[in-house]
Formats: sequence, C-alpha cells, structure tokens
Amino acid sequence: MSKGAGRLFMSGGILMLTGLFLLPLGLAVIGLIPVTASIFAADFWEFIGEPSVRQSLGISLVLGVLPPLLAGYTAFWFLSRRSQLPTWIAPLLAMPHVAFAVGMGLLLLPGGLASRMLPGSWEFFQSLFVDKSLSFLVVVLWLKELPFVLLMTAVALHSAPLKQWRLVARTFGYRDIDYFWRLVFPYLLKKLRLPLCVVAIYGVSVVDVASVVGPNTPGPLAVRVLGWSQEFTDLSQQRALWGTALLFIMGLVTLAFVWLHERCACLWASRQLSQGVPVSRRVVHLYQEFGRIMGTAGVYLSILLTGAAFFTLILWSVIESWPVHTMIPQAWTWSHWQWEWEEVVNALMQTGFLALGVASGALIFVVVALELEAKTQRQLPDILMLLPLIIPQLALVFIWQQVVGVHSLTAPFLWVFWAQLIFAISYVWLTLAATYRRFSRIWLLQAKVLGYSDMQAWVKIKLRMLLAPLILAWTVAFSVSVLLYLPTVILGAGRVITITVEATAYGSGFDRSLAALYAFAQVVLPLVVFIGGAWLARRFRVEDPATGRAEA
Amino acid sequence: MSQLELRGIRIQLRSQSSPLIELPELTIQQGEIVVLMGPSGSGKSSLLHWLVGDSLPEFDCSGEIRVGGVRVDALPTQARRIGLRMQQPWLFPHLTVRENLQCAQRGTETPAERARQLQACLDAFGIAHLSEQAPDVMSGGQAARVALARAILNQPAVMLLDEPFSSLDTATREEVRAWTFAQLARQGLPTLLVTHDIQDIPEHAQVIYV
Repeated sequence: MSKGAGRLFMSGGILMLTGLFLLPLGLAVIGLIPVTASIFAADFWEFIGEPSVRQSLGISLVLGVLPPLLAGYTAFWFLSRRSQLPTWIAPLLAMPHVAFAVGMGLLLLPGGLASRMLPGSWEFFQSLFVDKSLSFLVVVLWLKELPFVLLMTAVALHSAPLKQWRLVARTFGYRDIDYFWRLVFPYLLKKLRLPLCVVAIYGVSVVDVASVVGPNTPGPLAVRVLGWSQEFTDLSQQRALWGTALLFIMGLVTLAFVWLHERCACLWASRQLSQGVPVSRRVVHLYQEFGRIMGTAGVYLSILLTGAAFFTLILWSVIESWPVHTMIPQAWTWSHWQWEWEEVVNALMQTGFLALGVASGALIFVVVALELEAKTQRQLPDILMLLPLIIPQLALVFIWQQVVGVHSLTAPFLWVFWAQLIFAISYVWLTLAATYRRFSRIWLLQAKVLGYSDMQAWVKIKLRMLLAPLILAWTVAFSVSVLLYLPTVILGAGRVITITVEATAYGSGFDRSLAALYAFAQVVLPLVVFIGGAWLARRFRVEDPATGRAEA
Repeated sequence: MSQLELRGIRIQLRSQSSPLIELPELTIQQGEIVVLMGPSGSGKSSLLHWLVGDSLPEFDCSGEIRVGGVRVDALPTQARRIGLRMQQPWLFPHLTVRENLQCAQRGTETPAERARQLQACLDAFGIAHLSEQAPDVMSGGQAARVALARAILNQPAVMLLDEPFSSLDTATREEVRAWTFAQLARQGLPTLLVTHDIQDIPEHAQVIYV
C-alpha cells in the first residue's frame, strides 16, 4: 500500500470508527447521566415506592443473576469431566430466543404438547409451571443461554494448554477434580467474565422473551419501561425515563454481582491453595455426583428441549383443532400458512435484506478496526467495542430514541439499520477479534518476500487464511440482526416489520397456531445461514502450521 | 535415601518394530545428574512422560521404575513423587508467582507452616521480588526460575528435566543453566536431564546417547 493510500485508509477508518460507533455510544452514555441523576428527585422515590415497581425490580434482578449463574455452573460441571462438546450444541445457537420461548411454552406449559401427548401427565404439567411465571422465564433463559456459555467455555478451555497444566498438577499430587476446581475454574471465570456479563445484562433488559413467557402482573422492569415509553402521556414518559435510569443502575448491579462472584470464587480457590487442606473424599464424591448430574442433565435437556420446541412449532402451525385431554390433534390445516403466507414472506424479505446489510457492514467495520489496530500496533480496548452488550439494550435504545425521535419517523429503516449495526459490531468483535489478532504477521512478510504487493498479500494470504472465522462472524452478525427486537421496534416507529417483531407480537397473543407459525418462520433465516456458514467455514478452514490451530 | 532406578526400559513407537530407547539398567543416585542425549524424535521426551505416568497412545512403553526403592510404574502420576520440568515453564497465567508456588505445596501442614515454607523457598531461589507478579509480565529467565522453584517446592523424590533451557535465548540460557544446576546440587535430587544441546551437559554428569 502506498503512503497516500495508507493515510487515506487510516483517516477513513478512524472517521468511521468514531462517527458510526464511538460517538453515538459516547453520546448515549452521556445522555444516561442526566436520566440517572433524575433518581435524586423526590417524585422518583414515590415511583420506586410503588409495590408493583419494586416487584418489577426484583424480577429483573432475578433475571440478571440466576440465568448466568445457572448457565455458567452447568457449563463448568459439564466440561469439568469432558473436553469435547456434543456436536449438536453449535446449531442450537441458531434457534432465536423468541422462537425457543414460544416453542417451550407450547411444549411445557399447562395444555402444551407434552401434557397432551404423554398419557397421565396433565396434572404433572399443570403443577410444574404456571403460565406467564418468573420460574418458567428463568428456565427458558437458562436453557437458551446455556449453548452460548458452553461454547464460550469450550473456547476458553481450548485456548489453554490444559494437557500440560493437568500433567503439572498431577505431578504435584492433585486429583483431576481438585485440579479443575482449584486451578482451572478461576482461570475460566476470568476468561468468561465478559460472556457472563452479556448474559446477565440480557436478562435485565429482556423484553421479547419476557413478553412471551414471562410474568405480567407485574412484568419485568424492561417490559414495563417499553410499555410506558409507548404511551404518550407526560406521566408515562416520565416513568419511562425513571425506568431507564433504574435499568441502567440494575445493569451496573448485576455486573457488580458477576464480578463479586468471580472474586469470591477466586478467593476460595486461592485459600484452598494457601491452606492446602484437601477436601474430604466424601464431600468431593457428593459434589462430583451432583455436578455430573446437573451438568449432563442441563446440557442434554437444552439439546432435547430445543429440538422438541422446534418440532412443536412445526406441529402447532398446522393444527386446526386439538381438544383438551386427547392425545393427537383432531384436525389439521394449511390454512394458517395460506392466510399468512404473504405477510410472512414480506417480513422475511425485509428481515433478510436488513440482516444482509447489517452483517456485511458490521464485518467490514470490524475488519477495518482490527486492521487499524495492526497498523498502529495499539489495541482498542475490548470493553469499548463490547459496550453495547454490557449496557441494558433498552436503556441505550431509549436514549437514542430521545435523540433521533423525530428523524426516525422520516427514515425509520435507516435508523434501525444503524442501531442494529452497533449491536452486530459488538457480536462480530466478540467472535472475531481474538482470532484476527492471533494471525501472525510472518505470513504477510513471507508473501511480500515472494513479491506480493501489500494488497495482494492481504487478500490472497491473510483474508484467505482467515476466511473461515470471517464467514462465521458474518453468520453471527446476520443472526443477531434477525433477532434484534428493541432497536427495531423502538427506532422503527412501527414501520420496520421484521420477523422477530411479528413473532414477538403473535407469541405474546392467544392464538397458538399463529404464534407457532411466526416463531417457526423466525427460525428459518438464522438456521439456513448458520448451516450454510458452517459448511463454508469448514470448506475454507486453514490450519496454521506454526500453532497447529485451525483458524475457525 | 532417594534414588531413581530404571530396569528393562523399552520405548517403542507402535507403528515400528525396533525400539527408540532401550535402557537395560540405570540407577541415578542422590545428587547425581544423568543426561539423556539424542536428536529430536528419538523418544527422549516420551520416556520422561512415561516415567511420570503420562504415556502417549502412539508409544509402547515397558519396564520397571523404582523411586527410593519403591516400585511406582503402576501408580498414578500423583503418587509417584517424580517432579517434571518441561520445555515451557507452564506457570498458571491467572495466578501470581506466590499462588503458583502455593499450588505445589504438598501435605496438610498448618497454614502458618506453609506460609513459612513458601517464604523460605522464595528467598532461597532469589525470586521473592517476583512473588506478586503475574507470569505474563516476567522474562523467560524469571519464568524458568519460578518453574524450577515450584517443582522443587513440591518435594519430589526425583527430578526430570525435559530440555528446560531450550525456550531461552543464548545469554539467558547460560545464566539459568548454571543457576539450575546449582539449585539441584543444593537439593541433592537425583536428576534425569533430557537435551539435544551439548552445552546443556553439566560437569561430571553421566551421559547416555540415544
């Protein structure tokens, strides 16, 4: 690359990074300060004193704390005894949250598929979960987040020289289980700090899944804030602002909780090391058995229920009538599909085009940012690039809506595209940055020695060697765009209709067939792209002979 | 008295008919260093891994291993009391130097006794100033010292060194090598050193070529 072209790339890249990403994020964070400061007003304390608001706060806190803990420990228990993940884990990531929630509801809630098809189980399922309950929402979030946490845990384990560590620990006299919990567990917690924070923040600000299967008397705080923000009275708007402030604070509290849990666990492990008291065999045995059951049950339950939920969606979308206490439906019909076909296709087209643009834009953005890093030899702080994932989504989008509110009415598609791009960038960063940074510059040097120009070396060597992770990052961004609900519904001002918006609307309604149909349609795009992406990534995967590590 | 006795040792690749290493009889006495020397791929590291109970599936290994007169080849790694220092120091990156050393302290002594023992080790190995540092900010030479200190703090009866200086640059290697042999002499541990570098052979050491 000539000096002039190099300078142009640097200036363009910095401008793009600042204008599209850093500035809007910075403005939103600055915008959150006066909103958060509103908690010092006397009216705010009256607002927070309302029992229903306090209940909503409590629900959000539970959603921010329990799912990451449950998913984290299930993953640790499962992987403390194995080094491999079941093959079926990866495709589970393609199952959208809303579709999973609708499927789980239609499967397990009273009157669902399981209670009808399993003889004599009607009373059991009546007593297992109550429709629209906090406990069911926690279970749905736990099982839905588990594949993500498992994959992140496996990646962290894969990047550590576990074989050598285990051998060292064995020569020091450690049993394998002691070695895992005293030495590997603290390492994992540090590596998983960010993914667990992402899960915690998702729990605090979840709206779509909570609308489908969560409690509504009252609902979680995020659902109520969205409701207030869509009512146009001064009082509702004021409540929405206070709610946003509370969500922001709640986000900080759950992040603090994740950090505190990590510190306590590391402190425990450190004390175990410094005091050297071996845990009694009985305690170890009990713990091992408990962990084995919980880890195995959680992971296989997640796989089984995702498959069953998918099957339930297909089934329920073609049922005409299914009287209670009968094992199989009485009548089948395609009429729901016929009536809704045009709507579904339109929503899928709009979603697909949006996702195509967002995924490509996010990938280009991240690659430019990572190349800027490589050129300047300075790393962008990960925390900055992942900020959109560790601020409650609703708080962020609500602030943007306040800023661009009027403009979003004139160009809603553009604002939705931009907001989705911000979130997709963070996910692409999370997926790609570590692999991209690991790429050895020696390869480029080798190419240049052989006579390649800078651009040729980059395209023919670096891009080719990193093609598999780039494809996977693109599929992740595509899925993220399909699944994003809040930016679409808030900044789209009701005029950008994606399949997720439709699936959430029908999922929280009363028509089971329509809920199943739209939820199934929501699965289609991410699943097709994921399968295609995985196939392409496998085809283009290159193993770095220097590290022996496949770059995907 | 600790010593390492090997009888009828045979290391062979499953895919080949002739053995890579054959040691009919070898005894390493307390304070003695024996060097096993040979080119890459001659099975030296595989022998060490088998001695600590971590044989690789592609190798067929047989023979009798005795540590301090006790036969250990049927025991798990944890019970053999054989220390191993590999090519890389393999310090746990999320633990400080102090914590890395703590994880090697055996036994059920009181916390006060363990703390005293740890401090004595830090002082004796001249690494007290590194105690609160994370491994990723240390130089190769410092990491090598901490790794050896950690292995010795574990109170093994025998020490195995698998090309412990190969990851160091020339200048550091010289210094760490001298320091390591001095520490081993002080501890009096029977030591089996594997290397392909003639410079690594200490004075008066018995050398076996494979």
